[in-house]
Amino acid sequence: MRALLLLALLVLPARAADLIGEAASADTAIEERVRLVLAHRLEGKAEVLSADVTAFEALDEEREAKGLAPMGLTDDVRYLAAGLAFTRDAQRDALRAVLDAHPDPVVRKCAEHQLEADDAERADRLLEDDRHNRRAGVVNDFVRPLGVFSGTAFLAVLNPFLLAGSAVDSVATTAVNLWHYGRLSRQEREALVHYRTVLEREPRTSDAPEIARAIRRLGTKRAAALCEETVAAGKRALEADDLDHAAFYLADAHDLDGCARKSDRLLARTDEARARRAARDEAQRWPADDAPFPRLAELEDYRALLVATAAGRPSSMISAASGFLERHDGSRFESSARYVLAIGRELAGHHEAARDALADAARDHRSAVGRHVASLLASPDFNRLAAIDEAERRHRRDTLRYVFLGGRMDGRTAVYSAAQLGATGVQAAESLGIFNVLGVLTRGWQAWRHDPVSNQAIIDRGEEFLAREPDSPETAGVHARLADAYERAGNYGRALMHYRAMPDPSPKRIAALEDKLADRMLEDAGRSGGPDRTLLEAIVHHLGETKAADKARKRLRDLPGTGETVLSRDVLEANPSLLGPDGLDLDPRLLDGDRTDGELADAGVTLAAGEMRLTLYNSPGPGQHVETRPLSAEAYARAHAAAEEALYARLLTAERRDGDSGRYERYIPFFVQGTVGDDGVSVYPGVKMRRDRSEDRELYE
Amino acid sequence: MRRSPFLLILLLAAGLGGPPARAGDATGAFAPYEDLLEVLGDLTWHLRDDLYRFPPAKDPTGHDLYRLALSRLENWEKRYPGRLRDVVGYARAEALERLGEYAKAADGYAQVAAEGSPLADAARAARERVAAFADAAALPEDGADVDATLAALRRKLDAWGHLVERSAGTPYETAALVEEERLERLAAAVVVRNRRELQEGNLTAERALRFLVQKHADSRNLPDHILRLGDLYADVARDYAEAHARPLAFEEDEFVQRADRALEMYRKVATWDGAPQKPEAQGRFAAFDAYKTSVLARYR
Repeated sequence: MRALLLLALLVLPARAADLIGEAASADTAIEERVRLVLAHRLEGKAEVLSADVTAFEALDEEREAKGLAPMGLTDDVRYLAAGLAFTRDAQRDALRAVLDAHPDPVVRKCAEHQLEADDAERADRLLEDDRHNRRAGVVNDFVRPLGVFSGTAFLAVLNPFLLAGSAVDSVATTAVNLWHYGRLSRQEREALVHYRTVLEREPRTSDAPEIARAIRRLGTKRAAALCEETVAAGKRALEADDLDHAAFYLADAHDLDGCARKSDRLLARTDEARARRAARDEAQRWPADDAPFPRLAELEDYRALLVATAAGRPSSMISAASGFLERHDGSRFESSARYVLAIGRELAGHHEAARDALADAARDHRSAVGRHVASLLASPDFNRLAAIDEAERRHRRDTLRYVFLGGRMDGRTAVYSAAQLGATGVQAAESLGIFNVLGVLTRGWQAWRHDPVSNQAIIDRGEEFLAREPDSPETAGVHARLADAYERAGNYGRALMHYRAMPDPSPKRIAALEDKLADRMLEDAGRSGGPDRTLLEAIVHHLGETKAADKARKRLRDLPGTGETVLSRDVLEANPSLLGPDGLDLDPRLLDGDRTDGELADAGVTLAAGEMRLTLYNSPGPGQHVETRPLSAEAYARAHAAAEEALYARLLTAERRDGDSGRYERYIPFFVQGTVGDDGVSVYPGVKMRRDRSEDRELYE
Repeated sequence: MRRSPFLLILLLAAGLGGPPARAGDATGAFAPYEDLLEVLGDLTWHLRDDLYRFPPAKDPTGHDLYRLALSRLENWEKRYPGRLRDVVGYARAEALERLGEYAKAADGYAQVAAEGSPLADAARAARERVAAFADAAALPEDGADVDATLAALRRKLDAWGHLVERSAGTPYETAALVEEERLERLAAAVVVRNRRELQEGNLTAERALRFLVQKHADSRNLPDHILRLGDLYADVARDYAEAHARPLAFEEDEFVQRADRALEMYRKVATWDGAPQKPEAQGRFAAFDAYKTSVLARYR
């Protein structure tokens, strides 16, 4: 029997342990009944277990009639019985019955989880939330442009056309949203998978016909969306002249069911473009049909030019090219000679002179060599410093464009702008956002705080410059430009590295960059789950003078050591049975609020390495001290098991609510929100969206 | 009307009134060439390029310059047979040499040396140099089994090592270094591929790849070597997960330690600005990170 009980504990680790725990405090008869229940559960006797539930209910009633408290085990037995139901439908009915009987928090959580984990239930919930969020999205987007304090509404006092602009924006946005209303959502993708899983597991469930209909509807929608996405990817690649990717996507779309009609026209265009590319590539590999040949008078010098160039000796190249240019002024090979002169000078290390000769050669647009040299000069590989200049110029232009005209120019804003222009003509320029002073100021502030434009082009060009020309006199300047670009991009580590590589870096700026780097690392340290000890230690070790280092030190101090189990005072107060002989075996007076007889502090009890550490208030006097009590192996194992069980129950029954939402917020379906965004300051009401409750969101994106 | 100057200023300030970004003259770059000097000029410009530290040059249309020059010279010979034969032959041999076809390059130089050309002396010197490279390149790279393959690679590496020493300080040293690096990478790949058969295979494979990373720290292929080390660590982590598939045999810390080593390597390259391997590394990091997350989720 003991072996059977042990087996039961292994099979049902969480609940059975509770059961035994509760049973331990009851009399022998109840313990015997619990043994029987567990045996019936292990033997899989569903009918007998149902009888057990009835018997436990009767026993509770009997105890109640005698004025005694109920055993508190009936809900556990009911939950065990539900697990033995043969079909999905029966199991769900049994779980609902468990919940109807108001079980204890742990059983309630387990039953709710079982119900929610059902695939069809999850799919239904996802679709319901999706429907709600779509509707709420349409309503909110309709209301948002009419926000009572938005920049445009404020300026409407000066010009009523602006209000008309907001109305047009609202209508245009709603039209676009309604156009996309039926688009396949992530939730629908996930629901489709869950519905399919239900039918695979339980093809005979009573919900099967309804589920099959949903699968057909969502499956058709998904196939259409897949076709649309694949064709769109192919079209995007084709428009970007990325013919290899275009061919891949469009050929893939061609093979999808019912998608050939949409992809074939684009596929034909891709084939034509590829043929054109192949012909163009082939053309540049051949000489012209009527390649000019030098006149007799210039033949010898031209040949000398060729020989010197083939041999690649700079002095011979310069001499032959100079001689040719001197003796054959006006020759059709003049540009070729200038090109050779430029290469000779470049190879000899006379870079400035080489550049002058190249510029001379590039001016001759009539000759093929002149055009070739012009294209060389235009390529970023030729002049790396100019390439950095160009990238920075683009960055400045894009930033200014963002500040003055706003960041987005999508279908919605295009429709909005076009509608305004159509409605009010030239005066619409006022409401296109150019004069939204608040918007400009807001975007200016945002651009100053977080660069809205990518710095990658500047970074790539700068890094390439340093790799290729590490000894250039321009190196210090490039380090400075890279430090700025990396700082704007938020990559403070690289910014610091480049800034330190400059000849006279300012300690003040180094300190500022170190501060930013440390702040970022601290932010990263708390991002994934628990605090990242390595990152915190790195902040303390390498950036010890920063403010973030102080915070990191504090967080490190608060981190539990490896292998430690911490039971804070509030956990012990919520689970007083932990203090009993089957748990930590502590004096209950440690929690009675009287410091004179010993009192646990908030840090509570820590179990580690075969001992128990108690953080106690000093008495008399302020402060705390740690008292360490060695435990026998058996006592430690018992205390550890009880602590783990209490912590698990606490985790299981914790309220799953967003930290930033209020307690009664779920009962209010509306919100009022203020935003400071691209369009200025805006305050507007809206319908609350439902939180995405999917656990594996990325699997369905 | 009063608004116009203000609007203009704003547009100018936003850069809309500025000149458009410069771009290469694609039409010129793709057009058939008229003068052989255009081809020779491009080739000569890049004859001394350091192909060990930097990738081969591209022409403005994005094609590999040495391959393009070679095919242009071959087509010149077809279109105008015999015209400027010695110059075309010499340049062709130069292009072949840069592309690592040493035996063909030696033949090309020999033909020019045999003709009464002003390039004959230069061709003879080049032939002598390239012949030594061709001899080393002709040595076998594989054997009947792993040991024989590694021994063959060792012999070939010795030959190239000798050439690296001989050509030190010349523009040809980098070609020898490129070849030496290729062979060392090949040897490391053989060890990695056969690590399960070798004694302490994982350790030996790691050492081989780490040696590659340390020795060729200046190479343009360094990010690639780091990625390969990451791949090895990733394989080791996968091996661990497969060998300890049963839940109670799986130790999370052991797996995480192995997986994180792979992720560290991928991340190094994924954050390496300007490295051509950066997008590939970002993809591998994301893929392996997803694998790690999925394995951990399976066992929690």
